[in-house]
Amino acid sequence: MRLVLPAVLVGHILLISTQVGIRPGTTLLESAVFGTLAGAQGLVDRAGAGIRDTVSMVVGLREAQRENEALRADYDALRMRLQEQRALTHRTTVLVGLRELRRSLRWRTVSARVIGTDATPYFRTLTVDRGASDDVQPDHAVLSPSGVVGRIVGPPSRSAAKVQLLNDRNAGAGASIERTGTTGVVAGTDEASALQMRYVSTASPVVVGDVVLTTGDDGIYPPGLLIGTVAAAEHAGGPSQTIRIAPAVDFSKLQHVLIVVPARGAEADTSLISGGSR
Amino acid sequence: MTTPRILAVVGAALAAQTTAPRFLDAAANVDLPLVAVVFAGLTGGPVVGLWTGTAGGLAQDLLSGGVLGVNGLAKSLIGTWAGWMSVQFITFQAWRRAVIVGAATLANAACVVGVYALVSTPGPSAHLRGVAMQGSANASVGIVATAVARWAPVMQTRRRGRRGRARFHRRTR
Repeated sequence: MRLVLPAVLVGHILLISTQVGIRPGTTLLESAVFGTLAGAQGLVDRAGAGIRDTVSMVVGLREAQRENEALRADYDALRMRLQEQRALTHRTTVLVGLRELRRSLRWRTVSARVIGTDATPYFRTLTVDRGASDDVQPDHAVLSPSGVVGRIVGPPSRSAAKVQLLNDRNAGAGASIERTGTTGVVAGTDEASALQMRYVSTASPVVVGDVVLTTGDDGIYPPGLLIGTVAAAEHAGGPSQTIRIAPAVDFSKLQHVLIVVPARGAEADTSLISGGSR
Repeated sequence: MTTPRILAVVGAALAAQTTAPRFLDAAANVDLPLVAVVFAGLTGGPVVGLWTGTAGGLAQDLLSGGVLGVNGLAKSLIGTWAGWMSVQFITFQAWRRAVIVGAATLANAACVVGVYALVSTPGPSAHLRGVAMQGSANASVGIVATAVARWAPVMQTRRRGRRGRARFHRRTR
């Protein structure tokens, strides 16, 4: 009975449809079959469109990702160039001779990928994938497009090196306040997101927001590189004040860095901005 | 605990320690190799704790900016101590293990800072607040590790049981 009733009903409909036309030249059966097929066609078309859209979206996403990476690389290169321009400007304003200026900007950099952080909570170091085979040696400065990152410490292996971050408690860099030219020493603190500038004379007024740059006196970091901005200044009562600095670099988000390595003769001049990086 | 297992535990802890802070800032405060060493000591006894501590500490020294051997020494002591604790006391409960991990963090910090003070090399400064925070973080990780270590075999057995029952029903249907 379950099958008979539908079969009979369908039979009736078919029978009727062979006789009843809904438009001249079109039967109800034709219309029903066409409607069903068109519905199926619509479904197939929608599914196909969905797949096509998905595939094009995936392809588009990959293209967008490639484009994004290329743009990011361009952006980093431009920011690096901006830093170098800043260094150049700084050096020019303090009227250093042209020869000295050229020497100070003779950088050759190798780009390195961060492959690990410090294995203990006590130190702030990174491991990068460049080592002795890339001319990386201890005390080479490590930079990012945002500013100074740190320096190479310990003997590097052939293909890896350890970077002591500037916010490590044992790190230090000669620094000066760009606006006044007051010098001091920037070192890490217990807080990972702050630096401290020590030995700054109380006679020199420091304003929150002042830009802090490297002096180059430490023999590690080239002069004029951005360290950060003044976040607060404290007078402890002595002849010097302690300044809290917000670092320009977010040390916890570093993925790629640039290591400043000694220039290789004449090619150093052209490697100043981008030629030496890889 | 076999040597490959010790090495695997230490390797996993080190891999996590050197990778996690890049994705989660708070992870920089946790000393995962320490937690691994304490757990190795608690489950395997003093000898296992000693060797795990030695291997983990030395590897940690190699991958950090400090003097080679300081963490090796500290963690060897911690591992042995944790193993001794497991022999002397019942340390099965999660909270007891957490307390041991917390105490081990304090002892580890004291040992590391003490050794650096002796060798007159600039080392980490010991702030009780920082060490206490680190101890709490390590203890929390310890509680989670205990729960995982306890429940993982149970869940695996249950899953196997479910699979076995399903197979049995298919066969008998």
